[in-house]
Amino acid sequence: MDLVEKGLQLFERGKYREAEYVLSRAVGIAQVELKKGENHWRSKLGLLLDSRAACYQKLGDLDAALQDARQQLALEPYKCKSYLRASKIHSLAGRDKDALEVLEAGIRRLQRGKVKYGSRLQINERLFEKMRAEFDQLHQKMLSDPPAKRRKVKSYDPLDYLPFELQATIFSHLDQPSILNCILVSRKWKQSIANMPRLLHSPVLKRQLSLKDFVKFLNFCRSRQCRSFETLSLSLRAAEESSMLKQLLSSGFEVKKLNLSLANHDNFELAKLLSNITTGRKMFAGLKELSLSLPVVENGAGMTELLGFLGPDMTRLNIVITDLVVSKLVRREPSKINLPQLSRLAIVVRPKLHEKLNKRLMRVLFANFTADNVQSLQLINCDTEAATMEKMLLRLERLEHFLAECCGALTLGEYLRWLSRNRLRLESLAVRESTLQRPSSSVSDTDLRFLARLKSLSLENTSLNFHQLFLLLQSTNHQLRHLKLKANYKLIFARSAFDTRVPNVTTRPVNFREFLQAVPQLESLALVQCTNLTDSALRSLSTEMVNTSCPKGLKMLDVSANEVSGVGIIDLFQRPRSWLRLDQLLAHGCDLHPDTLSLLVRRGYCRDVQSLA
Amino acid sequence: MTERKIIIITSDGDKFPVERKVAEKSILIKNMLKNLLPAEEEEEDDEDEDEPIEIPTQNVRSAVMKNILEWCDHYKDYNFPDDEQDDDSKKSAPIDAWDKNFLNVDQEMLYEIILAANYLNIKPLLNAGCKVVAEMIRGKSPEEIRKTFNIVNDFTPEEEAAIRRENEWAEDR
Repeated sequence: MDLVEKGLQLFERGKYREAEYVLSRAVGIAQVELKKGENHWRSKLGLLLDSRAACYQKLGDLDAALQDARQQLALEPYKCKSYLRASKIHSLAGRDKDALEVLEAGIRRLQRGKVKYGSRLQINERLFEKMRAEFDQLHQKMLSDPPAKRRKVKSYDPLDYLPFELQATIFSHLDQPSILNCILVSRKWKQSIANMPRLLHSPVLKRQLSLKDFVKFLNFCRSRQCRSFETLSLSLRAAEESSMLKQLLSSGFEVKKLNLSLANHDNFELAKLLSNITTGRKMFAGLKELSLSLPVVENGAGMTELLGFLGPDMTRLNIVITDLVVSKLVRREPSKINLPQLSRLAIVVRPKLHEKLNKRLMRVLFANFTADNVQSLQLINCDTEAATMEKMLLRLERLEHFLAECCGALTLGEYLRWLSRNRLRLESLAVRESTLQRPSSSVSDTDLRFLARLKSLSLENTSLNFHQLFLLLQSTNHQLRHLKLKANYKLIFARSAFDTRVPNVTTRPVNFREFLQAVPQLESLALVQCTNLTDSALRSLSTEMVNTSCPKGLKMLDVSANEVSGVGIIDLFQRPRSWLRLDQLLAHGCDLHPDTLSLLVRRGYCRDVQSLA
Repeated sequence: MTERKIIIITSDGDKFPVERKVAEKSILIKNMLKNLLPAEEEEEDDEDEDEPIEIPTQNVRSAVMKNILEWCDHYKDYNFPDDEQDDDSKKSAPIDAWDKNFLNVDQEMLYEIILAANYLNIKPLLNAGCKVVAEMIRGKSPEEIRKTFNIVNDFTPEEEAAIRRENEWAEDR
C-alpha cells in the first residue's frame, strides 16, 4: 500500500495539500476494504485518518480535522493518539472546555478498558501519561483563567458608544448596499446616516434608471448634503433623457469621474444645454475624468464647443461615438480645447459609420486640440486623413502608449515614420490596418530608436513581412514582454510545399531562431490567424525554443484560428528538453478534442486551456 | 545617560511603566513628552533626573490600557507612513491580520479601544478599529445588523416600506 507511505512522506516534507489529496484517496480505499470485512484495515484506516487530521490541522481547516479525529475515535476507542489529536484541535480552535472534556472522557474510557481487559488491551503508556499531563495542564489553565475574554460576544449598538465623527469614519468604509441596509436598522441609525455628507463617494445607480428613480436619488443626496462624488455613472433612458439630463446638470453635483451615455442627445445639443446651465458648466469644468458615449453631428459641429467646457484638471477623456446625425450649420469659429493635464485620450467610433463624414470630424477636432501631456492615445475606427494624424502625433511628445485600429487608410509604416520624429520612448504600440489593398510600407528607412523601451507590440492586418518584423523586434532591445501578431498576410510561418519561388528578403518565411532570440523576455505571445502556421511550423518553433532557451518567461500562448492540430500543440511541450510550461493557452477555432485539452492540463503543461470551436 | 522612566496612570489609578518608543505610538503622549523633555537633555545634573514622568489618562481604564499598550508594543519598531496622503488607498486596504486578531474582543472592549485610540491619537489603531466595526456591518441585511449589535427595530412596517421606496434608485447587487 504505497499510497499510505506516499501520503506520510508528503506530510513529512510539509506538502500538506498534496498529502491531504493522497491520504484522502487512501482513506477511500481503506473504508471500502473495511466494509468488506477486511479487519486488518482497521488500524491502517486509523493511521490514515490521524494523518489526514494532522494535514487539515496544518492547513488550518479545523472543522475537517475534528471530523477525522472523531471518526478515528469511533474506529479505535483505545488509542491515546486519537484523544490527544481531538483535544489539540479543540484547543487550537479556542475551545479549551471541549478539549478538556475529550481528554477526561478518554482517560476514563482507557481506565475502564484496563480493568475490563487487563493485559489483553495494548495501551501506549507513554502517550497515556501525556494525556494525563495535558489534562492537568488544561485544568489548571481553566481554573486560573476565567472564560477567555476574546470569545465572549456581548452586543451593543456602536452608535451609543462612539461619537459622531467616528460613526462617520466607520460608515465611510462601507459600500452602497451596506449603507442602504444600515438606514433600515433603526431610527437612530437612519438619523445618524442622514447627517453624513460624504457618505456615498461612488453611488451605483440602477442600470435602466427611470426619471422617477433618478429624482429619488437626487432627493436622497439633497437631504444628506451629498454633493461631491468620486464616480458617477449614468446611462439614460431614451424616453426621459432630456429631463434627466437637465436634472443632472442642474443638480450642483461635483463629480471627479463622470460616465455618461446618451442615446438621443448629440454633442451639439449637449453643448447647448451646458451653455445654458451654469451648474452643469461647473460640473464639466471640475471633471478629472470623462467617459462620454453619444451620437455626434457628422460634420463635427458643436464638438469643439462641447469639449471646450472641460476644465484644466481633466486627465482622462474617453469618447465613444455611437451614431452620426445630420450635419448642422456651424455659426461660430470652433473653440480651442486646451487640456494641459490630459494623459489619456481615447476616441472610439462604432464601426460601419460612414467614412467620409468621419474624416472632417477628426480634422476639426484635432486641429483645435492642445493636449501636450497625453501619454496614452487610443483611436478606434477614427477615419483620419494622413495629414491630420501626422500633425496630431507630432504634437504629442510625451506619448508612451499608442493604439490605432482601422483609422482610415493609414498604414503601419506611416505611423512608425511619424512616431519616430519625436524622440519618443514608446512602451506599447498597437496597430490594426483597415483594408488589405495597400502597398507594403517600408520600415527600413525609419529610425526605430523610439521602440527601445517597447514592452508590448500588437500588429494586425498589416502587410509586414518577416524581414520588417525582425527589424522592429530588434529595435526593442530584447525587452519586449507582449507580442501579438494577427492576420498579417505577408508574414509567412512556413514555406508551403507548392511554393517554388526562390525565397528572397520579402518572401522569406519566419526564421524562428532569429525571431526568438530577438524577444527573450516575452511573457505572452499571440500568433492568431497566421499564414501557414501549421503543425510543422509549431515544430520548428518548439525546436528553436529548446535550442535558444528563449523566451524562458513565456506564460501565455495564443494560437487561435490557425491550422494546427492537437498533436502539434501537445508536441510543443513534449519535445525532448522542452521547458515550456504555460499559465494559459488559447486555441480558439483549432478544433481540438476535449481529451487533448484535459491532457494538457493533467500533465501540467498549462494551467488553463481555452478552445472554442 | 539612561532614559527617564515613563509611567502611564489609568483612570482607575493603575500605573503602567512603559518604554518611550512604546508610549510615543500615541501622538498625544508624544507631544506631551516633547513639551516635558526638551529634545536632548543638555544638563546632566537635572535635579529630577531619576524621577519618572507620570502621564495621567483619565479617559482610559486599566483593562483597555493593557490592550492599547500591547498594540503599541507590537508596533514599537514600526514606522507608520504619514497619513495625510492617499487617504483612499488606506481606506481600501484590508485590515492587518495581526490587528484583526488583536481586535477580536467583545464589542464593548472594541468600542473602548477605538475611543481610547481616538483620545490618545493613535491613528493606525483607530483606523483598524473602525474597519473592524465596518466589517461587522458590511454585507449584512438590516435584521442581521440588528442581531449583531442587539438593536431593537423601532420602525413601523409602513416606515420601513417608505424607506425602501426612497432607495429604489440604487442598483441592488
